[in-house]
Amino acid sequence: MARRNRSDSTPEPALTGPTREDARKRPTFFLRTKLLPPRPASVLLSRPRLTERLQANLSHPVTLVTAPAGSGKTTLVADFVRAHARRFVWYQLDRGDADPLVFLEYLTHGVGQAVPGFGEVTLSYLRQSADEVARLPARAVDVLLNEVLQEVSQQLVVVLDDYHHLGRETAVHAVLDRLISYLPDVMHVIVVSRDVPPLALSRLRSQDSLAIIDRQELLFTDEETRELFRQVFDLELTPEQLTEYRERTQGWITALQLVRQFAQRETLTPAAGAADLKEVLRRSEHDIFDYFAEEVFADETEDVRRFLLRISLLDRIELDVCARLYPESNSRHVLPELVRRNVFMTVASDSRGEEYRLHPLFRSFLQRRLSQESGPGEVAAEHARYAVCYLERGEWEQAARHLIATGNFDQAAAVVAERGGHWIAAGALASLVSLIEVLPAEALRAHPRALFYRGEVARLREELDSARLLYRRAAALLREQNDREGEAETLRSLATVERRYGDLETALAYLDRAVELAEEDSVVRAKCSGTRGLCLMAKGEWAAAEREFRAALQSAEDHGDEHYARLMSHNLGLPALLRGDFEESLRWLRRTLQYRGSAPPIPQEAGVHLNMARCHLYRGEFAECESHLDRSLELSQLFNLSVVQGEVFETYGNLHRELRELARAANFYTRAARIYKEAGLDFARRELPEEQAMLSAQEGDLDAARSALDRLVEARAALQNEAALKSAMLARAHVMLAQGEHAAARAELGPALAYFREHNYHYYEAQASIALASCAMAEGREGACLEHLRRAVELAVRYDYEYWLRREVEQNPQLFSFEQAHKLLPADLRRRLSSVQSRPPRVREPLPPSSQPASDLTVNMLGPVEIYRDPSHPLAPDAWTSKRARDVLCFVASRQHRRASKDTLVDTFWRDDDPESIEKKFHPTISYVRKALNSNQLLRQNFLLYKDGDYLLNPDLSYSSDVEEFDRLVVEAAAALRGGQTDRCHEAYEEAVSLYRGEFMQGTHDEWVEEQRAYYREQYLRMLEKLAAAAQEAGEWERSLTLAQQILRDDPFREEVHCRIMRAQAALGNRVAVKEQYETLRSLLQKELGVEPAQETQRVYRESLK
Amino acid sequence: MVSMQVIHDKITAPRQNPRVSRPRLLGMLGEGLNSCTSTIVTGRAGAGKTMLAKDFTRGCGRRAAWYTVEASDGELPIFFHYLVESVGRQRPGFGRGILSHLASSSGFEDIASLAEAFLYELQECRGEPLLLVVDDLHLIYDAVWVVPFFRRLLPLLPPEAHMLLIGRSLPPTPVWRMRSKQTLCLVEEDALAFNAQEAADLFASYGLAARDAHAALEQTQGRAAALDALARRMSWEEVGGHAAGRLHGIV
Repeated sequence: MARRNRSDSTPEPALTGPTREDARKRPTFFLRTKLLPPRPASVLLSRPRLTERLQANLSHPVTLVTAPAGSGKTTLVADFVRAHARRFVWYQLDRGDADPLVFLEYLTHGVGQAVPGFGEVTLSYLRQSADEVARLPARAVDVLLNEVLQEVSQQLVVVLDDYHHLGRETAVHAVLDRLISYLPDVMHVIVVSRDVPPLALSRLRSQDSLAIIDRQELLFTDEETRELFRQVFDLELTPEQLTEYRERTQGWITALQLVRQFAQRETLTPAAGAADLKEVLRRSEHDIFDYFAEEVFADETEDVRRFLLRISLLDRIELDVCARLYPESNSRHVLPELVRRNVFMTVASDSRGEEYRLHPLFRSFLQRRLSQESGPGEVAAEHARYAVCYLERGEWEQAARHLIATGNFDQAAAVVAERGGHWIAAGALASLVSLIEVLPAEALRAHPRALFYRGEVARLREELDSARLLYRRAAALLREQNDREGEAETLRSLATVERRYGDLETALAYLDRAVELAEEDSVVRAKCSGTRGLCLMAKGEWAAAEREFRAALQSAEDHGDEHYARLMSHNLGLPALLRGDFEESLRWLRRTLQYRGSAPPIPQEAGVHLNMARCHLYRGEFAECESHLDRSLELSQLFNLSVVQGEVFETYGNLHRELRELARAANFYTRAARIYKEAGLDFARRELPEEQAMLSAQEGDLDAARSALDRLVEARAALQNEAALKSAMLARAHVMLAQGEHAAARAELGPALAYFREHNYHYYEAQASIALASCAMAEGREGACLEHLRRAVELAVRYDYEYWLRREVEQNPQLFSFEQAHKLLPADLRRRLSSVQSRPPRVREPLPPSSQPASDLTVNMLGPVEIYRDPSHPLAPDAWTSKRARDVLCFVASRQHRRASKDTLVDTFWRDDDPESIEKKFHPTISYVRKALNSNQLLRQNFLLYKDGDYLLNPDLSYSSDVEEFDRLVVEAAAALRGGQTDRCHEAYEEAVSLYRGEFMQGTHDEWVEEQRAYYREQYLRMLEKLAAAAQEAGEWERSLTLAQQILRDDPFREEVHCRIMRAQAALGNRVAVKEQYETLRSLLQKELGVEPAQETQRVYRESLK
Repeated sequence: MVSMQVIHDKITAPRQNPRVSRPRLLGMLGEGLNSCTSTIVTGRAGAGKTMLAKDFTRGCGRRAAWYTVEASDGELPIFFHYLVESVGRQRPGFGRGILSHLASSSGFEDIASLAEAFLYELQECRGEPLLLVVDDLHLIYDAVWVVPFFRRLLPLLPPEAHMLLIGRSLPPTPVWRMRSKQTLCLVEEDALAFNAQEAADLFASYGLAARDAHAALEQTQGRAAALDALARRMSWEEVGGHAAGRLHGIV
């Protein structure tokens, strides 16, 4: 059984001040209004040619709308989603969204607004694993995608507006790339950006999965321009004016909008308008804008102008902020009025609040104007006012930005130094870095904790070199300032970096110093203990590691930090498991789960359940083992932890081996091996080869087991991993014992035992002791045998290996048969031994050889449809929400390459529906198929993939289908026939005939079924006929009779088959039966067709009666 | 560096009390308390050792210092530190002098002298009579200092400080000499097993009938944890009086 390398993903604790609870609330960083679409403009020109393009592209994963500012991108897309998409997410991006965690959190919230119930798992993961998301953003994407597959069944459009704000250098691009690569077919992403974003677009383009709407397409066509003037100004442009417009505005929407506004203001008359418009268009794009901006601006009252100038300094214009900063401006009235009048302002709102946005070009105009009119001093004073306001509101990021704008770097640095932990806990790493990077060196020198947080970001991003430098600088400065707690925290972080580099001694030295500096009972001290524990684990000093974790746990509990307490409980479970104290390990692992209460799960729990399953397995508690494995499998799928999934399969294998279900064990080992291989793991470092070898031994193939273990011992010796080597040697010794090579086994076990004892591997030691006792017994050394048995029993009693000891006693009763050995056992085991010994020696029934793993999915269609994944775990009785979903699966499965285009599916199943109803039904049906195939199943798999416009059965999985097998046999029979192998041909016929349980897709009467049904029926009858003929030729009359009757059941009008029956009955001497057969045929033909049997039939009848 | 932060859980008696008292065993322990210097209770996991000791501390008339040993306490300085701390909780001022110095030093050349120093402190720092409970001692039986330490300590304990050692098997220290001199009280697994009356009492506390207890006793062979788990389960599942019929297949 498995014993060594555990799921030892010892989590590195969070580092920064605020706990995860703080992160969960995260008031500073989440703005609901960013998920609101702009309200529709009051006057809007619909642009069918573009909305049709957008509509047509919905079946592909992505649309990119890219054009310069003011080209009408947002208006177009907002208009489109409002009119055409039943459900959509509108996500207004800004530079603060350049962090994967922030981005994913908004996105998840957005989807949650469109799909009730969505987001629980993803948000919980994001909130509890900020550091992991920073390191492995792809995993978070997978969690999100898994939840989408699970929860979203209607088409959903996601709009990422102003994507260019993220900049070129952000991990969000990789996040979006992954999201798009695996985007479920129910989702469509529209990226709206001024520039072409650095996404992996060429791959998408080559797969025809991307549509781009660019500047050229957004420009107004002549017809649209004419329509605009017609609708809005009631003005019919002359061809000359139209040409002028085309040349001057080049269809630029903003210029046209400006003209429109100008016209509205001036109540442009057709006569006067032409001249004025011409003048307007003399200016180039920016000039036009400035001109009109000024025109617009000049039109406002003095108060409103001043108000506009000032709010241009704000990134976000919120009503309550404005009301507080400008109580005299009546902003609650002014802002909506400006929107209403289209003064280059839009608003996003819902019932709970509003946020206003200035048009970017108008905003830069206002900023320029403010600076010219008021001078830098006043601008700075305004920023300072904002900073104070945001500081009071606790919006640290905005506060820091305004402080920097005033040149008050010192206070900005102070804010970062004080609040940096909140940024990190919220995952807003990029915005923290962008702030710190503009702070001058002297500000950072004065507030070195800001540097420390910069280091934290580097460490979370795996930039360890850079983190180390930043920490060192921060530590030196903190020392100068005598900030002992700050220095301690920095040194602790430095220690974690050194641990990652593998320099444990340096790490421990930093921790010693940190502990000296930190206050007793401080959080930093507790975290030092946690990190020290991990260092000591790495050094193999378990006892010392356990003491540190224990201290850290107590401290975390004293501080009420549940998250950290959980991590420490988890860490405490590992050394106990390694030592072989499974009960103790279970105690800690259970506590890890207890802290959680009803909160959603985190990825580490997959490992916790796996390790609990292992403990239960060693203790012989199989039901508990299985239920923890089920849970672990579920979580490892949810969080896409493929290696844990492999380990879960391996442990399922061990469980089935322990239950002597060897074929199932082999099946699971194969799955585990497949996953390890895909993950590129070194097999020699896994336990799997030992387990597989032991399986071979259990199956009776000792030679195979031995040679596998010989190879493993060699590989492990090269790894220089003593514990792994000794465990392989122990396994090999077991096989040697079974082969009767006692001396060789003893040579193997001696050093292994010494190692296990020295390093406190109690479970291993107990096993080695029993094995050595067996050697000694075989060699007649009773004293040595007794010594080893005493030790084995002693360890079993100390660590409660009761199940194991009982099994050993039952398997080797002779080992305990002599008196002194017998006395070692506890009373109940002695009784059990007596009952074992009194039974006649049990001959172990031969075990079935491990069969090939069954296929992942079976779809049988010849007869009533049968669909299952594992015969012992049928799909839930109500798995198929609709029969159509089941038929869609059968349709795809029966097609060549198990693939069908979306168009074909729509044409086959929804031909008579209108497009809207198709949209309503199609995706839910696909979703029903996926859900049905996962109902009542432990392992969730996506069988139905969507790729390049086609739905196909996932080619990574294996399938079994009677139709495919039937087709294969038809081909094989034909080939055999061609090659003159008549026997082989007939064998293939028989196999094929046995697959035919009834007509194709029995009970389904759709058009697509008919053709295939006729084909398989024809083939089936043809083969029966051939077989009947062959039987008759061979004189096998009974058999030919049975086959012929089988044909008539399907097609009673076949006269030649009736003839065959008459001949057979005649040959068997049944003249009465011949007559009956002929009469049956004659009355059938008379009744149904009004004819007599053919001449040939009559002749056969007459001959048969002779 | 050895971490010397004291984990309070380890020197606090378990909160849980047994469902039923077992006068037969309490009597044995009480007798041992009066006539011996120390007591050893042994039995496999789930034999009811800790619960018995906890129950005994409630009615023995002494202040009880409790120390639950963990596998990581295998180094003598750590073990000693906890031992001293647990006594210190009951006798304020205990171990503040030479013992705390000894406990924090990393090397012990003379293990026996350390035991003597502990005994000396018990004698000097007087207070109410004490019961020292050391639970789960088996986790550190393999440590080399265990035999010399306890060999010296146990026979010399003063009457007002009785030591109750709990482990899953007998400690490696030779106990026969003490037993023969009747200075050591030993309660082993056979004695710990529930008898019919005790099982009936336990089942009655769950509202279950004596005949259920009898059947359960057969199945569990009197092992405390298994018997208790069975009674608990039956009391949950039981709505009528069919418990005995259901026993098959439960254990």
